[in-house]
Amino acid sequence: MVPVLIIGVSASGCSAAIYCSRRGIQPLLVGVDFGGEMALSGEVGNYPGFGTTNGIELVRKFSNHIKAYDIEPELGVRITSLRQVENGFAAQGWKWSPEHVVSYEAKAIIIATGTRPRELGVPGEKEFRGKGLSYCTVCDGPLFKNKITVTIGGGNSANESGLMLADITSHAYVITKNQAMKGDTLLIERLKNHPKATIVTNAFTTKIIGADFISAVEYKDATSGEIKTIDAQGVFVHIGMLANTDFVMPELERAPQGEIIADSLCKTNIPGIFAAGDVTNFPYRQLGIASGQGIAAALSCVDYLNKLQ
Amino acid sequence: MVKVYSTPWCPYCEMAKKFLEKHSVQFEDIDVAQDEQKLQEMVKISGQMGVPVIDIDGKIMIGFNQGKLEELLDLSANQWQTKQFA
Repeated sequence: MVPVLIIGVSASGCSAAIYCSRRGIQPLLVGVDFGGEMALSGEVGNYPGFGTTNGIELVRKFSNHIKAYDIEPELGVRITSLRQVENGFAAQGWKWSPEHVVSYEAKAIIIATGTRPRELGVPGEKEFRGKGLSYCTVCDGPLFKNKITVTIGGGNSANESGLMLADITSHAYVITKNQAMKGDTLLIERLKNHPKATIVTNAFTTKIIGADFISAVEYKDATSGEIKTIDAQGVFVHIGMLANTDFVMPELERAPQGEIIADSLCKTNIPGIFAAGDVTNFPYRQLGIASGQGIAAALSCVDYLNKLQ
Repeated sequence: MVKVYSTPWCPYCEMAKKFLEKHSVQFEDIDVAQDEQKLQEMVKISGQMGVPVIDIDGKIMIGFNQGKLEELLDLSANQWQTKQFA
């Protein structure tokens, strides 16, 4: 049984790992990939001390930082269940594919599994995934040079997606069900003023249309009630995120949308389980906050382990 | 021959390339954001338009799955023992 298992290898998980290690407790760090949503961030200009950086660069820096503490994350690991056992917890899952089962036992757990993109749930979404529909603008956006794209969403991710696509494509639409875009004023203004971007508000996406690949997006104009379409070859979905908490035990308290309820010390309702970063019910999902919560979770966890002895 | 169809900002492409470099696997890095003809080639061989696409002597992998890539490249035999930390 290891002292602490940290699940999730991004800002909060790596920060927690560094702090555990500095307190003399070498953690076991596992996760699906390195960087999660942080890696997909594209340009990052709000992480203090870094000026302008990007997701890939941050992954590199986090990776080098944990290596300096002899922490080698185990990647490809998807935890599928977590339960209490005598003197601690047992986590089970698989590595790279479901037939390769892995299991771990730890005295304490730090959950830092972050979030995944929310899906639209409209006809055509599943069929055209990878055939023009993507949840990653920084990955697949560059494939739509001189084509028309539609970003679906009303917050900062949609703003960033629309701006990036407006620079690459012949025209980038951003459609939102809201009356106006939300998020950073700076980004919204840049998007509004971009000559190759159009924001469509009060637009409820109803269908993704195409044959082999996408050819259009259909939406309902909530103002007029009309069904309208935009001809497009690419669709990028940025309608929010869902917390990755499907694997936790039912006794662990979660908010209605699935986020783990953690206090200011990153403690959950189960002693020995801590949660940090985007997976928690903290209202702001930011890289700096995730790092800070990772640190708080590690310090609380070390305190917990010390009291066990 | 290994080919990686990628875009410059795609983290999974970066992970795939780093993995190949780490294992000294020579590969051709194809930036499909810059080369329309190669983009069409990628769509044709993979039937989709997401990156990365990795072509290992005609075996096509969409996305980056380290375990699957290790298998396709035959990098290790004893890879998949169940780990138990007790």
